[in-house]
Amino acid sequence: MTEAYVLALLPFLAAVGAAATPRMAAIWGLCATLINLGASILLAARILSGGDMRADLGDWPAPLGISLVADGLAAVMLSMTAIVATAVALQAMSWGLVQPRGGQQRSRLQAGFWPLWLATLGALNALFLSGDLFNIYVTFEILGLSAVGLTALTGSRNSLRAAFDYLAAGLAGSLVFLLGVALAYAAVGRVDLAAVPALVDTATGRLALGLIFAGLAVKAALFPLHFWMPAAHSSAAPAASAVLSALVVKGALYLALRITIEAGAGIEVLRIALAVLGAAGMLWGSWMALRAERLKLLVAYSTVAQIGLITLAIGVADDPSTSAMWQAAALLMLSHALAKAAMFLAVGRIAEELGHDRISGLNRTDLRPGVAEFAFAIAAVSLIGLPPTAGFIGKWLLIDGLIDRGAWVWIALLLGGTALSAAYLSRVVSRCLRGGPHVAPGARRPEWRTGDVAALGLATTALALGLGSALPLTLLNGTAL
Amino acid sequence: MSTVLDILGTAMMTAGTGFLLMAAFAFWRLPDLLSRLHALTKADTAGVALIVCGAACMTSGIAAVLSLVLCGVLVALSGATTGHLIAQASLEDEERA
Amino acid sequence: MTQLFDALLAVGIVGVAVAALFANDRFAAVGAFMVMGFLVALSWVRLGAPDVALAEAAIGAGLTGALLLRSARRLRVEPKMCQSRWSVAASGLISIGFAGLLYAAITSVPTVPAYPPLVAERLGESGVSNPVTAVLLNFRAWDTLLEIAVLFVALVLVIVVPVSRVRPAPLGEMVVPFAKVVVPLSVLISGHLLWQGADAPGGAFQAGAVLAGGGLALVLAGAMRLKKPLQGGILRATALSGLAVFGAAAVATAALTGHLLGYPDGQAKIWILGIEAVLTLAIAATLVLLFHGSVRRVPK
Repeated sequence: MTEAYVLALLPFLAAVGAAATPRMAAIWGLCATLINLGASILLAARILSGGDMRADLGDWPAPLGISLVADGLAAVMLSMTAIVATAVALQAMSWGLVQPRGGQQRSRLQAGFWPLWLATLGALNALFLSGDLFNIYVTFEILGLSAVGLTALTGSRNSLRAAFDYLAAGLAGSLVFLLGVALAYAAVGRVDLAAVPALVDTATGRLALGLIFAGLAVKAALFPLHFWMPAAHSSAAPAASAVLSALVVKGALYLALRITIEAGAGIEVLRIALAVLGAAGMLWGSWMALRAERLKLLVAYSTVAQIGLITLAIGVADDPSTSAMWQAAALLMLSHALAKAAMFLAVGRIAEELGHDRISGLNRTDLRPGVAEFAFAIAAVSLIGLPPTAGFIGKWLLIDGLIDRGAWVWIALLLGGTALSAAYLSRVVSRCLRGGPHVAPGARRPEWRTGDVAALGLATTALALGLGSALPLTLLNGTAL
Repeated sequence: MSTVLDILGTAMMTAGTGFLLMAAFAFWRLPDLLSRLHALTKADTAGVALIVCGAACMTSGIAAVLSLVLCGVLVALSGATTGHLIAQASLEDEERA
Repeated sequence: MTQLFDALLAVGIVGVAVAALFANDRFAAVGAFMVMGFLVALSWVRLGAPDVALAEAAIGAGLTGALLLRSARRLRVEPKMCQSRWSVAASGLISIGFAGLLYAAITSVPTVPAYPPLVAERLGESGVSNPVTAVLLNFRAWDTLLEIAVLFVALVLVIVVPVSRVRPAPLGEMVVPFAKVVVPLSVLISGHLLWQGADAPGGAFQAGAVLAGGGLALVLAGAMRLKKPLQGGILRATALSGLAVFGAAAVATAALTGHLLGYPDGQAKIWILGIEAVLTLAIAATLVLLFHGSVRRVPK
């Protein structure tokens, strides 16, 4: 479990280093991110060869102490985080934070970004590895606070207001979640994840589960509790938006998936509620994305829709001991993380070059940030779910399982959501390709930046993941149920 | 001996509670900040001091008595200081207005 | 008699909370909030959790109140409350319904504590005899490490989020004699709480909060000038040392025993006291910095 220890501790230590020596913050950040990537790959490889791992912290067994659990699902999530982290670090190296107001502002952004981002990374790793509900609550506290900081970092009026709403929503969500955990302790006398199956049997336990999921719904920005999210994600700096949209909401979604897996059968009402809310969020987010005028807002609303899709997948998945449909949700989370991070980084680059992010103005000038547009297009293909991307494999698994059950309503909703996502994303892609000074032979092309490399790299990974989806699926298949 | 101390302690604590009640009453009835402050600081300090003495009579052991005295001293000190600070702040606000 | 007291306490808490919500004056709202903190601390005492009561009184009521008062002073414009009577009534009804649901849920399960027997069974191996400290610094030390990380993130937020700030001005000569008494006392009491934490209510959080109170007295008396790079730097380094040392201790234990945060046999008490000593200083420094606001000079 050395790798797991490294994953859980290293980001925090690096965060302290970055906060203590602001001038070296980027170096701390880059080193920690690269070691984090290596550790997560090693952990995944070890799980592939040796199966699940478990470590009792301090050698105290589970109900008394806290256990770290590294299984296939955790490994997939950790690798997803590590890959996105690497790209974000690359982007942050180039300082694509919008509206630089002189050197001082920039260095404060830089000094603030790294410790907050490293703390976010540490909290996510700790969350994915944790086998204890109260411990997970503490990781959510770190995650919520540092995400608020990442939102507020640009210091614009909009971002401060969005950050405040985010803070209020996040605190309310935490409180409800904590109440759920306390009730769970009252009901079954323990708070590790092994308590979840017992919760299903009693009324108090079911109320506890309901509260836990209500808290998670706020944190994951599930419709109709998404009100804080589009503003927060669209007003942050690009690297921060990518982190918030691709990773931070995944923490709550991961826990929802984990709990539904642990609970097994017997939570039908909860599953149906999740599926209905997910479908509603998918349609509503898509509709708002269709109407958005700014590129960042479109991408942010697309996150609302995609969260809806993932929640729908969690909701319609059957009892995991008989069906493997939950793997579709995990795969969709993975592909969304990669594609959405790529998309936010690409949008950040486009906005940086053009000086604005109005969709209608994308092809008005003779400046063409082609690499970023290309990355955006590939990410869009993955989000829509066209072959051969990872998004396609996820949706395929999902629809395949639904066809077996003959659940035609859900299939229709899924296809409708897919068509809508194709519609709103093609608003951007088609404008990038349409005629005008934009695509004329004489159009200027900005130079490559590390942000372009990061966006394109992530988008390509999302594409390649579809071809190599056997790897995450093998990891997920090995997850003990 | 212990009965005498008990009676003494109960009497002092009752008196102290009376002072605190008076302070609360003054806070409720008096019209402006300075007069409220005037009543509150004195009655409060006296009330807490009496309660501390009363409690000290009813406890055994030097450590408990010492920590009670410490409580009384801290309350008296912070009451006096904050009373002064509040009055000063309100004066400054009036000058500014 | 005690039941009457408990009932009064419960009604009082809700009443003061309502007063804090609906107070017209901002300072009155903060005052009501602080009173609520003390009543909640009392209720923790009644629930048999003196450790939590200490922390609640020191941090929940005392320091949070100080932070809120400071911010209330900063906000010049009084925000207008524009709640319709219906929304207030609706949220009141929802709250009452929810409370009823929770009450029913709580009373429907047997109230046999499941965790304390587990702790009692292994308490002898934990190195300390106060079960709360044993849980916080040994059995579930990983939780505590992450909570220190929460404090760290809060500190970073205060340092880097670019909002206009108010710097608390020294309050004048009258605070100096106050500080002369309070600061040494706070050091003494904090050391006592830290040491006592091993076998009685107390520990790093309570000791740190008390020490921070002394620190605030120093700041308000004008004796500690955090704008000076040396003083500010020392305080910031102290604040950051909490997570750094706790993390390093976790690494060291993993290297020594193979278990993260598993202390070597027979040395648990030394490790716990060492970590708690550093945490006390770090928590105090963090709280003082949270109160004071950013002291970082922007690197050129």
